[in-house]
Amino acid sequence: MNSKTKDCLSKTYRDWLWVILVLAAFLGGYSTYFILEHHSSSPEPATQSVQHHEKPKIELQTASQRRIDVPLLTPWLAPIVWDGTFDEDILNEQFQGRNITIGVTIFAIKKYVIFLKLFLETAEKHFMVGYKVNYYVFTDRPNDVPKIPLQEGRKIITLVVQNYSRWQDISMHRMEMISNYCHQLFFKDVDYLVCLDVDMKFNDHVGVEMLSDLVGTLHPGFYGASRETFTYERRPKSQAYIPRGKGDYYYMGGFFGGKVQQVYKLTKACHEAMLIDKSNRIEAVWHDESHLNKYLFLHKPTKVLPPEYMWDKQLLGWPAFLRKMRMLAVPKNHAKIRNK
Amino acid sequence: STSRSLIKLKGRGIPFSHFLPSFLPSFLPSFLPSFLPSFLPSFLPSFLPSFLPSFLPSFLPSLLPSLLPFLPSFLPCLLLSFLPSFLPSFLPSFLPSFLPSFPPSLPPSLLPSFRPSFPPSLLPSFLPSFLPSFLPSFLPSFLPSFSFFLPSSFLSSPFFFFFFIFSQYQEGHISCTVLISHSTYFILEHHSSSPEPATQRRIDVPLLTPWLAPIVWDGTFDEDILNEQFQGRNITIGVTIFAIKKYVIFLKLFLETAEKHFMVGYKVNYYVFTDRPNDVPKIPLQEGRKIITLVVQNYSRWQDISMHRMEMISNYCHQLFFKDVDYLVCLDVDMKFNDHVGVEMLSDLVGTLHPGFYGASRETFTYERRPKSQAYIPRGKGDYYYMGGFFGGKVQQVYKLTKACHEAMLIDKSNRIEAVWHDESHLNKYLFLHKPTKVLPPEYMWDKQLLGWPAFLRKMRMLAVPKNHAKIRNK
Repeated sequence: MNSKTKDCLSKTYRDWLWVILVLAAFLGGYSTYFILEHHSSSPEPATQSVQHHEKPKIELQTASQRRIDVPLLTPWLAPIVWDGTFDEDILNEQFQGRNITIGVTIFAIKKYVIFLKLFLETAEKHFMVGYKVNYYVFTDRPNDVPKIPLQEGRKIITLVVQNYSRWQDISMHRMEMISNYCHQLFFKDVDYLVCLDVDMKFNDHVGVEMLSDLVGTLHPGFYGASRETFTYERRPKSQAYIPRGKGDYYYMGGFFGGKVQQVYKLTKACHEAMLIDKSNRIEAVWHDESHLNKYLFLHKPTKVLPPEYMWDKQLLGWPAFLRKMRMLAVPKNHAKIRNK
Repeated sequence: STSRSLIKLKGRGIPFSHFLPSFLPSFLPSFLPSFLPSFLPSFLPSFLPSFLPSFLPSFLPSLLPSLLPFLPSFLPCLLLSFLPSFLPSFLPSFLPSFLPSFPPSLPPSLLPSFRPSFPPSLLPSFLPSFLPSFLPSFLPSFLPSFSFFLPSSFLSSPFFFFFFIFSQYQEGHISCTVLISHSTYFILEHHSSSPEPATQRRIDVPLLTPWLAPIVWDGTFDEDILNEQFQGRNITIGVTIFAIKKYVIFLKLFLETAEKHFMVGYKVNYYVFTDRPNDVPKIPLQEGRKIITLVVQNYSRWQDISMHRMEMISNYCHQLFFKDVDYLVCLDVDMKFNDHVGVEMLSDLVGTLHPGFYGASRETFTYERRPKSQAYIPRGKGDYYYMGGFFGGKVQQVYKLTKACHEAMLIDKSNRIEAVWHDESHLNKYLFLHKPTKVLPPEYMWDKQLLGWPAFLRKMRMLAVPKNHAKIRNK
């Protein structure tokens, strides 16, 4: 009797178990179709990026964080612009009326010109769509700048600059070149400047939510790491020195921006600091990135961009807090590209 | 009796359907209408990711006693139950199921009420006991992150925290996040690159508006960093208060408490608009602070006095405020300061959430609903209900606001309509069209007698002074 019961028991249980497992797997696999917002009585199929379709406005005061797995604010009350924390429509409403132009500075010196095509093509799809954008391409090979079909209101301005033999110098002199061109070009032509690395591609929406007076981006390799591991410049002799126990975040040298006046101040200060360091015969451990971190430590940014805005999928994978990868590093062969 | 029925079922091999009521709703919301029709409606409103953190402890304890004998066979399905991302929906559908009078569908307005007053005492008592034993067994890949997580959290807050794990399927990638559920106190240290010591993060309240303006809750900012930012700029803050007719009696308490709590260490100009300059009390002031009395006309109706504040502020902007101050803060005078109010509140344009409407649904906001008025906000629109007695910002922005509100009120007056809440309605209309750059939570304006002391309120920075409306107004 006992064994019979046991068999009976386990068989029916097993069947039920399978039913539950299959259903749970089904629900898990198609869970995106069943996530409902408030007030909607029937499930709607969610699109890839949920914010693009008409969502009923959720109760703002009662909706607690839509993101609780990540920090939403810096201690000086600057928002960290995670996906899910902002409403694109409201932000577009705020910015559209102001007739702004966004300037993008990219440096394609020597062999880096090969990154331009992918950068510009993906930027046309994802970067500030619907706004006026000026791409300022700093290069020493103006003939290698590709001709990309651009949307209306967007243009590429090629600026011929000198190259340097060392890649570190090229990287560091970006600060000087940006601050130089501010008076000639940027103050007049654009409202916001975004200074990017060129060996990147856009993968998802990057819009006006990132615009603010002074914007820094969290370095993806250091997100979640403790302050002690940040590769700040630790030698007091350098202008970029940040003592142990100090510093808020480790910002990425390849993505910063803000209003032209603020970016001008930043690039000028970094360039002057680098000149002082040069005269003292010291080079900061991460070159312009170290100086950028020093500046943003002393002059806190008004908005901070999370690692969504600059990610490396090969090196860092796809952790759970990353809902979107807005910009990705393009894999490159360092030895081949640099110093040629 | 439960155990007896279990034994009976064992023999007959009808296992599942009898156990399902205690946990089935958690797995199979809209799929099995045949099983549990009475549970189904409760799922739909409760598919709210925001409830995610708080579901797990609530159903597992109820699960365990009845399932204990069968636990091994259920473990795989319990495993999978963590994985789908609709799990967040459990809590609301569960708590009512414990109660005899479980409503067939939870109206959305009920749901938010769980959050602030969630009794922490329920959950911590069992969570730590089962959670660690669950996690290592099925989520070995999380263990490293957990072990990093656990010791510090355990050490720092033994009772008032709990962890939850859920995973999402993303394009074939299975990734997992460690979440901390909302509770009154917790320390979030994992995945945070914030400076040490990490400021306590608040997850029981919204920290940002949808247009990325911070809501300045206690615990979200570091006073020292903000003071560093502002001290170098040599700013002066102007405060406008209107003490017309009998309201002069509120001045003494207001100014005395302001001296203790408001912008301590900064230059402050108190602009007292009054029709009784002799009744303005002489208060000893800190260095760099002064009281400027401005004599203005009074009106017979208190509604007119309230509404004309906009006009008076915008008038004095050109004469005084543009030159003398950098930031303006426009306050009601029948208030007192109770706790620190500092530079964290300064921004281009600042509005304060009305304490009586915090947590309420948008439909209950007392916006002006008549299209004829300039302050009209249609149903379904509007972000927050702002308080008429606490707004501010840079002088230029406050000037634009007061000028626009005053002009709107003039238009309304010519159309012989008065907005339902007078200047507050017009303020709400303006802040709906021109979103503030910072929003102050109800901490900055609270009424303890009327509203008590809910859990989300860690500090009461300004409190309403009880007053006898009939005696004070219109005299």
